[in-house]
Amino acid sequence: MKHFKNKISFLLLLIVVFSASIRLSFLAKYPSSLYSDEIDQGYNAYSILQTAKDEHGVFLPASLRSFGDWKPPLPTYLMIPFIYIFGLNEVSVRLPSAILGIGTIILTYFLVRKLLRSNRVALLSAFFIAISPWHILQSRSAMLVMIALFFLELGIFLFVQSIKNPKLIIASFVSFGLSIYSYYGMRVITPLVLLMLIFFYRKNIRFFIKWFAFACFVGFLILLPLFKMFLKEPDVIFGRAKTVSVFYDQGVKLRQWELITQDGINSPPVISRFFHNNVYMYGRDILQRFLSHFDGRYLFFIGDKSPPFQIPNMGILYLADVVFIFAGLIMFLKSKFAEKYIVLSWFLLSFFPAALTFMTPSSNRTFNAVVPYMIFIAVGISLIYKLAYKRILLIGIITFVYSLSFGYFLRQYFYTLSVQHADFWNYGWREVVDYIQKTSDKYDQVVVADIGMPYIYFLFYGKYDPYKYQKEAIRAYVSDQYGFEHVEGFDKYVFVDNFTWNQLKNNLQPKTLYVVSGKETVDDDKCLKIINYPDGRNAYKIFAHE
Amino acid sequence: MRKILLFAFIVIFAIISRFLFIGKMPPLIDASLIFSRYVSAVLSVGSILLCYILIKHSFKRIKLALLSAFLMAVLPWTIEQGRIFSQVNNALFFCLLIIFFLEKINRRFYKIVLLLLIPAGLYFIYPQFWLFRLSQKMPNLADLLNNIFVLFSPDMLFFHNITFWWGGIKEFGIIYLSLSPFFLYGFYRLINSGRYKLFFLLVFILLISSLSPFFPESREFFFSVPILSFATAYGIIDSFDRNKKRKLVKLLIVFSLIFFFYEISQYFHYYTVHYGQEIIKNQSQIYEAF
Repeated sequence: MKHFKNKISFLLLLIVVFSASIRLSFLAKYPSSLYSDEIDQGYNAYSILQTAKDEHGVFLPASLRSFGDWKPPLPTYLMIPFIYIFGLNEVSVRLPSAILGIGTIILTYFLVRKLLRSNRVALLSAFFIAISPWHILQSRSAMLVMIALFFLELGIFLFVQSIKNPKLIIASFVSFGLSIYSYYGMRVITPLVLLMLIFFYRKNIRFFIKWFAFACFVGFLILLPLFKMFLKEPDVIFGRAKTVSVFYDQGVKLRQWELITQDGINSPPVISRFFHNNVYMYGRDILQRFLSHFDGRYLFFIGDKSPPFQIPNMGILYLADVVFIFAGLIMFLKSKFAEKYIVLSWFLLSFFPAALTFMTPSSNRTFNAVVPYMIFIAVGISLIYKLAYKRILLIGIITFVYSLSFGYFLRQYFYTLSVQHADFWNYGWREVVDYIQKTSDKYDQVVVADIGMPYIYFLFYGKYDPYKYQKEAIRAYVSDQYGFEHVEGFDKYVFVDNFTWNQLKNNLQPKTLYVVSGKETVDDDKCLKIINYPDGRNAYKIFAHE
Repeated sequence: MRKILLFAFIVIFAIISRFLFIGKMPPLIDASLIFSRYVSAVLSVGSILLCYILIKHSFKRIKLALLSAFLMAVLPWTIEQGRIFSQVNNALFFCLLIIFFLEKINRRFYKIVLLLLIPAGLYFIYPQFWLFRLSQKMPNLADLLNNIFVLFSPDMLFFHNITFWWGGIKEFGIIYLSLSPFFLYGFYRLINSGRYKLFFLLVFILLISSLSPFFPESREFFFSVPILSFATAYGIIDSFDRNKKRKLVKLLIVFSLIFFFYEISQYFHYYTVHYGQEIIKNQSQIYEAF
């Protein structure tokens, strides 16, 4: 028995070391650049570290104002110690996600072992998360959802453990509270998961009702700063959810109008209302978006189409997973473990917030489903292993198939994405800032085309003093048609929307440096520097009127 | 008596839904095709009857056979194909008829003859079948996988049937959305109870349809309709039987079924009011008269 336990621990250690090597190595280089959302958190963490205020001058904010949106603050606060130790750079920004990504792998092992009482399934679940393209992509970038998943999973684990050790219910509520501070979607998912757990363990909770009540009180205290901020600024709770919701999108309304028009003027209004009403049309749209997350093409073939969450030419899961997910799901539904309902509910609830938005299917908003998916795969493999006649052969085939799949993923992630699709991650701003910092002494002003919030790159890579920036920033706090708020300038930098070479070529100011998109045609004699993507395409062009 | 009445209701419903205004809806582009439309309508009703007989014969459960036949009669795709000149609709009837005879005949020789009749019959009834038009470029492995995922996607099953791009009803899927939980549950129960034959048959049809060089116009997937109807009917009956004492679940089932009847009315409204307008709008794009 002791030998068996040591073997399990050794295998778990191997998985952790392997996952750490994948998640921690070359963090600064892959993905090829910090995305605007990542860099924004990084600079705000730096600002809070230096001044105890964010870039807007708000003291220890409970929600961070960011490009017209409100970002949950926990991921930013978690960056502070790393920035303090390693300085303001890509690694410090991405380390919290990478470390908690490894944490979810360990947590998954213990949670699955607890819920399904199987070391094999627990180890397999941990292993498949370790090699999951979806999980690796999110672990290596600071996109909030990794932090949120860790705290949600920790909350579930502690809740389940509290049945034996009631004091842990407090830690569970703390963890659920922290998940709410990590990602918007959790403001829908966490309460639903918590309600599901309370319903599931309602008979056990009666025996430690006092601890439970105290945990609720602690949870309330944790959320108090958020409520307080909500009173001042109602948008902090759901941020830009309004502008990404299905009700904001005009598609359904236009179709409704088209159908009512087709009904004709002779059609009684009651008929049009009966057939083309909002409840039916939006209800159908929401269900369609919910079910779009189970489309095989999205899962196994093309993945998420939104650039920062896209791995070229592959899905969010491996193609081989399709067999094991199917087998695992059937086996899971058949099994008599009551705890299976926890995993199934967790799985289904993960898709709720995404279904209410018009950008679907979305791998980012449904990231919480990664753990249940991997549990289904593990159960599927375990089932097929049990049924297999020649187990060694089966292990050989599975190892071969997954080695190939993982190798393909590594190629797509570390080569194709970084070299051929560096624009997905806003590559080039670092190089622009480096160049301008070296040459800007000669110029009085730097005018930058406002493509993808460049101001934050100048702040971050220039390590611009947050005290100074809070005083100097010129911003109107007016949203554009997409809900984004822009910074017009600070110091000698000016950020101009919709500005092209053609507009400016006859009106160039002296001692001024200009930055435009690489797609612009700039006269050769004026062009000082071209920043290229790794595949040779032009990313940005810098020019001046000497 | 009640079962006979229900059966009569299904047949009458199938006849009315296939024959009423068949010359006008959808708009008849080529008047000479009216006879072919009648043939399709007759064979569509015939397929429903055969579906009923086959399920009753194989499973000895009249309720299941009745519900499967009813679902087949009301599914958007069967109504759409049953009212136009549709080769695949006629081919489905032919295949079901062969299966019926295979079930009835015991002698091996006749069974082999019948099996050999399938490709020959299909050649005459369904010349559009891609297997008989192999000059087209076949999909490669990546395309094949893509086609499989598209044809068996939630979008195709419940929201947008794209197998007849310009002339079909893209506003509805193969199955009504309200039936989706029963379809999934029925499928799960079928696999769980070890009835793999239907599952493998569906996989076979899916594979054949995905291999079509004319994708997304893979009409061959129409052959799966009886299986999908059966799985859904199985799901409805089983969910009722297993949840007799669970009031909340029963309430949800009843709510889904009310929504189902609302969706049927939606479909008929769309078919009678909007579909014709869409056809006229797309007339220049439709390469075949129907």
